[in-house]
Amino acid sequence: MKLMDSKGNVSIEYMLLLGILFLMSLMIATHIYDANELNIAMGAARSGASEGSTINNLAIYPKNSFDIYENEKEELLTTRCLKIVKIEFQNQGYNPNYKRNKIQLKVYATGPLIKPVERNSIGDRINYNVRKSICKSFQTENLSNIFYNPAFSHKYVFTTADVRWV
Amino acid sequence: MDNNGVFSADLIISTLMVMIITTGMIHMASERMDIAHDFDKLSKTRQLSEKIASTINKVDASPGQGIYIKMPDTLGNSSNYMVSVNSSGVFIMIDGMKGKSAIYPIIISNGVNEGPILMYPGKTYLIQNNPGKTKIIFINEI
Repeated sequence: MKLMDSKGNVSIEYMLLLGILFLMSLMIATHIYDANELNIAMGAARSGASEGSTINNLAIYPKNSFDIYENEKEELLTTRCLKIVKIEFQNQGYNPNYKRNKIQLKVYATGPLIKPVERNSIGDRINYNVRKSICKSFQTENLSNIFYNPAFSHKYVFTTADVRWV
Repeated sequence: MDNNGVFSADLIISTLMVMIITTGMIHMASERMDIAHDFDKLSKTRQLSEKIASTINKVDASPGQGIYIKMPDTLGNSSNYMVSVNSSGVFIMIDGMKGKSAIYPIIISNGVNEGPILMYPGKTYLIQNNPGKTKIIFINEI
């Protein structure tokens, strides 16, 4: 294909090819943007789960939670060994209430020495940190409530299922 | 680039791909760094409170014994921390977070007052068992 003639005019084939490439680039860019957003959200979810498990493992909590635990759940004030196994996500389709695609995150954790009575509080803290991390990544804290439930990105809304203990 | 100075489509597409991947990686790396800093801070906080609790338990076992503790200037990247010791344990507060290390129940005093004794960053303290008959742990700034 000849790009230009002797008078400096671009050939029609070149313009057609350029137009098709431009349209294709636009379609791919939209797809990449969505995938990238989901990728960032998943990264943030992993970071949040890791942060939540660290807080639980070291038993150093935000002051309000500590005061509650000191009076009601003293067993949570000691250190423990907890690991995040994996995080699964399930696309639940478009949600008209939030006008976004809804994704449910499920964290799998293990801690053989953790008593069943402690698991609720520990799981809630992990999920809270997952949602908080996502909101912070996309700077959408103002769209959610104080528990960051649900967490928002630009095109998705994230909820968390109860932590599954394996 | 060809002889006319025009970039090839391969180069443009690959540069675009590298830019997209790099952006994602920088974001993830920065989040991991933040987590590492937080983990470092919280683990040092836990280590300090356990060290103070363990020191109190050690001197509790031997009347008259004393151990010096130098409080670090910073824990991780934060100097905004404080330790409070009372008869039930060692409480440590850092950047709105709080933790506790348990000790054997014993009266804690600074020689003037009993009750919560505060310990601050950068100071050195002597944790000493009362040489007298009454079991008291004295914590005094040096």
